[in-house]
Amino acid sequence: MNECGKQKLNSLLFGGDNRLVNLKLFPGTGGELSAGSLGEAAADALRKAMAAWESGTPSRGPSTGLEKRALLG
Amino acid sequence: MGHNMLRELIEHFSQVTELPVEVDSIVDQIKAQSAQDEIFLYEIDTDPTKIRGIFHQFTYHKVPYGEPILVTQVGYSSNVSCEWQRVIAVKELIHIFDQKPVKTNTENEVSQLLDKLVGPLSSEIYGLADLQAATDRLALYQSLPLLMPKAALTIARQAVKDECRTPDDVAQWACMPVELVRLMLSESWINLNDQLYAI
Repeated sequence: MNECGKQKLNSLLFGGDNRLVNLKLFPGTGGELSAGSLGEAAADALRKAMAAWESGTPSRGPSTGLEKRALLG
Repeated sequence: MGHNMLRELIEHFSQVTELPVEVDSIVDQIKAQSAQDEIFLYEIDTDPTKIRGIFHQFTYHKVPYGEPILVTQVGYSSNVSCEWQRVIAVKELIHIFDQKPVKTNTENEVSQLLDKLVGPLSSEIYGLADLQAATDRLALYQSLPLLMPKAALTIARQAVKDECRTPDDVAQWACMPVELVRLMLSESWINLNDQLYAI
């Protein structure tokens, strides 16, 4: 499991024509997370990001929908 | 790229006193001040107990033998609050400023990053992987002055001190997780706030 998750991630990152420049992750809140399950989850997230990019999905950051305001007044 | 660019970015937002700062405005500023070809942010369905965000930067060729195009993808989990999505997205964007030695870009480094991110902070195995994982953790704190700029934080700190606003009010104002707002309002944060880009 440990190696399997890592291999999945590495084959996605290094198996194609693209050249990896940098990879960073924000791990989950699960206390007993292993490197393998993080690798597996990262591979899944990476697949989804690549699918969005390849399909031309527009970039969209998280938006609050709130009006800007001062704290006081 | 690097510390100076990050400092420039933090300083650009430092006088903002009307919140929230939207993530897309941070992306616009990064594009304005750096040589990024393409930056994409995507909301991604993930199990947040396993992964909350991903930063993936790569080059590709649109045409054979053409100039390589630099692509930055930031994925943030759809299954966390908007407050956390904002922290995750900005934390990942901070990695655009990673210096060359801490960029994770070989199979061995990726494997070691996974080990280090889930392993204990105190480890007897020293090396580049440790630094790369430390950079990953540090970026969370470096993201905070972008979502709560210095001038806004000064106003918030005084308002909480005067008891006319609570940390919860400030968190709602900034659209940030209250636990991180409490950290920023603490005495220990005061000196750190201006030095985060230099670490």
